[in-house]
Amino acid sequence: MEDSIAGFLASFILVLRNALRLITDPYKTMRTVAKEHDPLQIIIILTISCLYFAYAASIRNSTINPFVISHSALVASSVFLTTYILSLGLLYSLGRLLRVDNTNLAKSLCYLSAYSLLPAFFWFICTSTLFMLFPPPRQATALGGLFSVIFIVYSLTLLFWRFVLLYLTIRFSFRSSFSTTVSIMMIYVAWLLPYAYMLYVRGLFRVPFI
Amino acid sequence: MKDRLYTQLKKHYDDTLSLEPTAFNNRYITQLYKAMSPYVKHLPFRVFIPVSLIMSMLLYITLSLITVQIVSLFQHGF
Repeated sequence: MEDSIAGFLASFILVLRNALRLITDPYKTMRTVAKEHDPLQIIIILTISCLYFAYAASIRNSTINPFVISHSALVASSVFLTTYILSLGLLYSLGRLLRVDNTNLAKSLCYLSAYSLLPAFFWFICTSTLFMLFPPPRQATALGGLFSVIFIVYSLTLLFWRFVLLYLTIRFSFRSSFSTTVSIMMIYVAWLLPYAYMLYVRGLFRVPFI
Repeated sequence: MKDRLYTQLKKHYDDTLSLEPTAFNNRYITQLYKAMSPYVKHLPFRVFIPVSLIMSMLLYITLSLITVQIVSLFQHGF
């Protein structure tokens, strides 16, 4: 029992350490993460992401009543996990198609994809908190303009970071060249856009958590 | 007999050479990539934040009302 708690705490601390290092040194950190062999880290990341959906549901419904938020959080968590598994499946299939020289392809992809969810997590946390503090709509005033600029700055920054982490995920899993990596990124985005539109049309996600 | 330093150096050597370095057919593009990539590999936010700031300012200056409406829309995005 004590070993389990110590193991869990160690994995949690590793997740925090890697998350901080992804901000300062994404290249070296993703290289280290590609060689990880602690599945508890993936479970911790996915669990924290699912807990976020409970937080988002409470903000959207303006309540902390568990009967109200549980259904919304459960649906969002299921869709998120499905999206994560589908994106892993797509990248793994592309890897098998290209006959990449990596015996641990699936393992590398799992760890790298989990850590590359960090920008999305930050964006969703910031956006939902700002929704609570400064609910829309914004007005075309000086303060509204200032807020809009700040919102776009942090959204674009996190989007660039996400692209870098996606590039590093593919590069370290597939051990591919720059052109192959960018081609796979384009295929990934070509799959993601209609999928995100489908989620939006069905009212499951306005912006996909990926 | 392997000592700790040898093990560390070998690990670093294997890490560095596990991936082929990026190179393009054009020498100038390769040089440009090698000049720009350190800014993205280490502390990338020192590049991302200024670039995002410039892009958002340009967007706001050219399409101020639409920008505010887009932001209102994306605030519901979570």
